[in-house]
Amino acid sequence: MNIILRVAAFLLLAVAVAPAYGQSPLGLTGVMSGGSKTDSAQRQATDDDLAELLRLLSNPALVEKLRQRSAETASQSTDGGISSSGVEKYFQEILSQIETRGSLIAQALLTVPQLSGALAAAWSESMAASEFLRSAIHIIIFLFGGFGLEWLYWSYLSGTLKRIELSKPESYGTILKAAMLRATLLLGSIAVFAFGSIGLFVAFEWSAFVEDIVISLLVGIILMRLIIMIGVFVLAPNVNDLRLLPLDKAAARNIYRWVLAVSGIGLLGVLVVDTIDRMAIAAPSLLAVEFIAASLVSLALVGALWRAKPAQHSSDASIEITAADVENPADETIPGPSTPGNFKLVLSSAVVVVAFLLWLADVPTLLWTMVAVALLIPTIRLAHVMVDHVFDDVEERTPDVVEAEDDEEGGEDGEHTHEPDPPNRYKLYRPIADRLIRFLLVILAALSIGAVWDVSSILDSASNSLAEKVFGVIIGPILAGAGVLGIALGFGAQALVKDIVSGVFS
Amino acid sequence: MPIMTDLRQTYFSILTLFWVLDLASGLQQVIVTMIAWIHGCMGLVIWLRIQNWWPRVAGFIYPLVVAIPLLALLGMVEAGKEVIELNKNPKFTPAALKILILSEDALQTLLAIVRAGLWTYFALLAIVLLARYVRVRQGRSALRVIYADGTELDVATGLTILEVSRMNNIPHASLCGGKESCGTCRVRILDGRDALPTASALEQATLDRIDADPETRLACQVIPPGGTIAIDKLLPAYVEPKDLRRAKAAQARRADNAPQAMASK
Repeated sequence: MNIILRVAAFLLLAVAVAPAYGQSPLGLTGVMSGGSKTDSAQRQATDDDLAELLRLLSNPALVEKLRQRSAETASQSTDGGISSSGVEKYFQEILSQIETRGSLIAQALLTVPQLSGALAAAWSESMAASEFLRSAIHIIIFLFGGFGLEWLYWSYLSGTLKRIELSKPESYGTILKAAMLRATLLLGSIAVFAFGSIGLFVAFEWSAFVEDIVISLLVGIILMRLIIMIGVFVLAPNVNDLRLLPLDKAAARNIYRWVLAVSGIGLLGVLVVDTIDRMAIAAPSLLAVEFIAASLVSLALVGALWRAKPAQHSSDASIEITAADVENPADETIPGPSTPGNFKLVLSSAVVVVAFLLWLADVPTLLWTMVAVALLIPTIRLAHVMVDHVFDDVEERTPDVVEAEDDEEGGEDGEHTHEPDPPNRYKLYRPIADRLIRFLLVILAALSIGAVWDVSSILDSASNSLAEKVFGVIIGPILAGAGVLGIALGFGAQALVKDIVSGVFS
Repeated sequence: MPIMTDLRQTYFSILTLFWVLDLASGLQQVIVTMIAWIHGCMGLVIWLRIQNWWPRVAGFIYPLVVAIPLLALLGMVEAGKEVIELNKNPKFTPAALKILILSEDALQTLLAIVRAGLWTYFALLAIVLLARYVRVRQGRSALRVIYADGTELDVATGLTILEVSRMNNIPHASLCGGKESCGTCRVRILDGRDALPTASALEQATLDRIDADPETRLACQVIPPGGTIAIDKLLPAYVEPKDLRRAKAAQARRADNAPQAMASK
């Protein structure tokens, strides 16, 4: 239980950090903008050729590209296709890459003392003070527009939202409807904000450098708001009845705070690295900044794993929590985190550390494979707990409701006479929902691993047009995902039909 | 101002100041505009939304609340663009520079006044926050508040019931923001009524206006001295101005349910 609750935090964090990290291994921008900028950058350095080489080498996308190309030529010269020697070669290359990377990082760490000076110089070179202030005015105005539109949205709809949140639905249908409506309203507000701010952003004129930075700032703000929304939706730090996890208020709030803190650090780190990447700055300094950001994020993650303490209730006791959590759960907490809990904590911390080391070694494919695998198990358990909690909640709220959900089973009135007793129906749905979600998660993990290993080759394939690259990346997984979703729904529906039929005839 | 400094300020000179000469003051101007507008609107809306006619016109006024400042700011940006273009022409700049015809002494005096004002403001703000902190902290005797849904809170005394609800994230209706004028925060005191201070004249007037029974008080005014107090919020937290007219009926319904709520605890 202990672990599952921690995992709630971990999962949300992963959602937060993944797109951010994803930019460095998958992003094309590094290759494209990096190349053009090195020309103008750092002409005053005496060993600028070396600096340029280092800069190019430190660019993960470029290294990836080179590696791929050499692998391609190698495989073409032998026989083509992935032979065992290819795999061996791949790992050898990784090892040598780690070696160069290590020396690069060591060099980068030496530049840390002069970092602030270098950053200030690069910043003032990239943007005049007057332009910075003018952009600040524009940014404030378009954010004002976004928030203003959102306020307008809520001034019409906040009553509806509060009504949904404070009323107590009493059947599956109404719970589902309320949850969907609530999610739609919350998402709608973010969409309105995005619409307003992006609309105004487009209306202003920006210089190329500022535009890139402002776009990532905007994306960062919207992402952060999405994370906050998901956190509120799942953890409901203020309202006990809306929580999707069996946590009491203090625990939910604690985890929520940690989720926000770590996501904030992660997004901020990515924003800063991205901004500095666009400035004309020497490669070691950039690498040093990346190193600092990555260590901060890892530290925050480990801190969250250890400090985001949920109450030590077993899932059976969760029903009592909502009824009355007057008792201080602290009495149970002390014997609670015994060896198994701590072991899993150590394990998950180790995963974070290994992920950090893999990042250091600059092997994004291995990094993301490990992250996907490491996230899968806790995510499945988290989903299981959520399903259990929601079903417990419904059963508790509807002790003997016989009518009020005829709509789900069609209009045949005769059905009810066959059914043993109504609460059994919940027991019938529970495993179906559980299985369906587990299946989807496994597929999702498989897809993302596939994407991690495929994307680089798609990017480097003969086609160089941007559209093809973009669509090659995006459309493939989406099509596959849609297909898999269809199959999954089919399976789910099959199980549902089977269970209903057997329920009817038993 | 023109008399004292012999200075004629035009839109052109002001815009030149904001967009060309001193962009920081332009940024300041934008931020101050936003703060002033938001603050003014908050006051207006809180005052207006308990008026009878407000629900009928609110839907039309809300868009203006956003549109007016936004269009104004966009206009400023647009004018700024023109001014920047014009100032690229060298013969315009001297005209704009006239803004700065102030003797060094006068400038320093002005800046000193501004600085003194700011510090006074921050000092006063700190005093207010400190006083509030003391008020929240000083409540020695503990207070237990029991809500009708079974929630129990142990808090320090010194706060009104409405403040207790808000600080503990318990949804509590309050349309006028705690100024004892709307009556939406009304609670029925189920237990511990005798220890409460009596209602002020203004609270009593509001209670009379909404036809409250003697057990009902306004949560925004009652500061329980300590001990245990059981209350029932009479209006749902999502009450909207248009619901106020129906409030009486709701109250009557809740009155029927209240004994059951007591019994079920």
